Amino acid sequence: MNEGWYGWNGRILRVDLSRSKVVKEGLSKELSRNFIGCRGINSKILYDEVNPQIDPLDPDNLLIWGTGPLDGTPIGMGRFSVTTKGRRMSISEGGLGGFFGPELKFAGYDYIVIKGKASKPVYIWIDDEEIEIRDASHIWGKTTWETDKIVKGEIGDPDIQMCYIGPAAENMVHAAPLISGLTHSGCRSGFGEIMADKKLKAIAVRGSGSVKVAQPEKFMKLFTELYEYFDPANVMDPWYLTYLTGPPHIFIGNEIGNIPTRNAQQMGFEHAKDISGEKYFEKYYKRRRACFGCFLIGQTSWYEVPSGPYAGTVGGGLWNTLSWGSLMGINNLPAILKAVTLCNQLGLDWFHVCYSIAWAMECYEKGLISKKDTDGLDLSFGNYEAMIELMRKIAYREGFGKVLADGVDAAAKKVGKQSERFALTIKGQECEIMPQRNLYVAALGLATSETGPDHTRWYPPYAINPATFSVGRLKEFGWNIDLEKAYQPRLPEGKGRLLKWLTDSRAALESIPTCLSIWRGKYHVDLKYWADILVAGTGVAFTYGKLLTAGERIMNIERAFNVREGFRRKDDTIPIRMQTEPQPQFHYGPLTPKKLNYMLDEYYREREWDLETGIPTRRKLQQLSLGYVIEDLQGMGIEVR
Amino acid sequence: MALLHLKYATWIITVTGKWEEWIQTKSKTISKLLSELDKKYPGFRDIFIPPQIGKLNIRTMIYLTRAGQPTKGVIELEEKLQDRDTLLFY
Repeated sequence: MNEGWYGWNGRILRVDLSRSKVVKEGLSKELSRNFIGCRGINSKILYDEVNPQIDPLDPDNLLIWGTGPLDGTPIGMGRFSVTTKGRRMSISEGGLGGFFGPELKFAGYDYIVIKGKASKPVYIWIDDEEIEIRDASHIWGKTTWETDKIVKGEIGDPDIQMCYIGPAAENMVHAAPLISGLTHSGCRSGFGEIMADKKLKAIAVRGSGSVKVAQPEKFMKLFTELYEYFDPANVMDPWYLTYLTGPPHIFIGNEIGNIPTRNAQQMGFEHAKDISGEKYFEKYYKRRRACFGCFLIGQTSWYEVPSGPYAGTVGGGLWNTLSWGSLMGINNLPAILKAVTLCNQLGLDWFHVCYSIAWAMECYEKGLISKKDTDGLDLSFGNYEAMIELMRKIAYREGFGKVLADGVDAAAKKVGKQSERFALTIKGQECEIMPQRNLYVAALGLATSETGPDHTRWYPPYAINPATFSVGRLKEFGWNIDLEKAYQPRLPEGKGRLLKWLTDSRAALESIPTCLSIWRGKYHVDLKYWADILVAGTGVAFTYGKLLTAGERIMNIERAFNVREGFRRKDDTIPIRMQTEPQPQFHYGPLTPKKLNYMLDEYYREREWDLETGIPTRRKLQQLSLGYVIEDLQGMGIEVR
Repeated sequence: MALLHLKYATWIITVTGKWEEWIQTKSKTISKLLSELDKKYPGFRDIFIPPQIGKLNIRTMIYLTRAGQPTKGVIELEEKLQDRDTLLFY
């Protein structure tokens, strides 16, 4: 551990796979103060070190693993972030939970930055100060679960922590994520593809150190207060309690028109009860699971299918059951659980696969494709056996799976016949399950996310019910939001300001890091608290204002990265279906281009981004000490107003 | 008399013992309906309006769906009820 650092270790591990070279270098204190850690520093390193417009498969593209100053303490809850330049040219970032991040901190590193390409498959073994680049030929082609078992066996320690890719990434399947600890998946914008291109199968780590905090007694006092404040019986977010039970609020969402069904042609699923959390707990729940330091052992859980054709299926992670079920019209919960497990084992992105298959099912329903195109598979909505078979074909690029393996946009181009009208993507990446037409701030959040649709950047996607909270109390938290407007789900007004606060604050919280999902019960309004605990942990004089400014700086450096790659306002949009098709069953209309533009204008104004282009203004960049970005953009002939 | 479709989700089911029911009621407002349901399911009103707060509890939610209109979260406890309204409690 470097002297003079608290929270952070102050060290970056750099690996050049082309030269099989490993270098340990110091972390800049200025960088850690301005971008905090995790997602923030990852984004800054990527902006600084990856030249604009290089091919994402160029050896000089980077893979970055980042922890934050409070990783390895219970506050961090095991969160870490991975970042690269994705194959759609945008910044590609995602967070994961589990135990890998803390273990990396215990080994003495804050970041791993990898460049180059290995000549044959390798994995990296980090054992405190000893770093080895090992041959991975024997695990190339193996599933993530097989890889986990084999590597732990050959190292002889079942308690090491690992990240890996599955066969899908090795076959360069669109959006393949990184998997860690069997069921934690992150960076669904294709981190796995870049790993596979560099022939990096896995990283395994074992650390024997600890995290040194600046003011241990104060830190523990604040931590205890936080634990008491957390009290799940007194949360601010009513959706939260529904999350305590496993699959998220399917039954509730179905009642209010929030469940994308049959490729979001409808927003309610007649079989919602069959795939609900209530049903899951009745039949398939086995035990609770938790990430490192989690207060709430059970945010996710471990399941087992006891009987039937999928008997013996085990796994974890349930956020996605919604999309697996309703989106494809499937009401067979064991098949959905099998699909979740397959995604984790094959290293597939949940949303890529379910939106791809749902799109193909709609094509099949409309007669745009037939069994001749689908290798004989009956792709009627609801056919769960076809779904399972098609997943395997996608991962291994077989037959019709090859058409879907490059994502919905590419598949729609191949099939044509106006099928792109129901290709549900944003910035080339498949949507999440957020009901864009029924929750406008979610639509705006998805549209403007730099890394493609990603709910973690602004979650939860609604304001506090004004009937339950005093405006005066919000002011105490420094929450300058017009609650009456922000709370109305289909009112365009007020969403820009709400989203700016949500995204800035979450950028900061993800960089500390901490788990947004756990703390969402308190809505994260009290950033003053987070500043206090960061001070106790790091000894750096963070304040509420500095923390929020750091979040805003992170949002702007990520925007600047995408601007260099040619992304502009036109890319901040939502699928055509959401802009044109109403939902008569639930009596709400489309989110029209006029409404979307109104919200974008309001959001850009709040951000001080140019209304015409979406590029951050000169004034804003200077205010955030990002003056060098102005020079960079101007050097590329991009006007900064 | 109004005919209402009441639905219960997550842990509210442990209080009511059922997912949903249809009731005939003379209650004209959300507030009065909560009092009526409190007689049937003791403690029901306090879940949604804790006596010490006297307003909607921040950790619960009531959704109102009315024919021909999109669902909305209840903000006003004196909101009038209409025949064939659907209410979701959680």
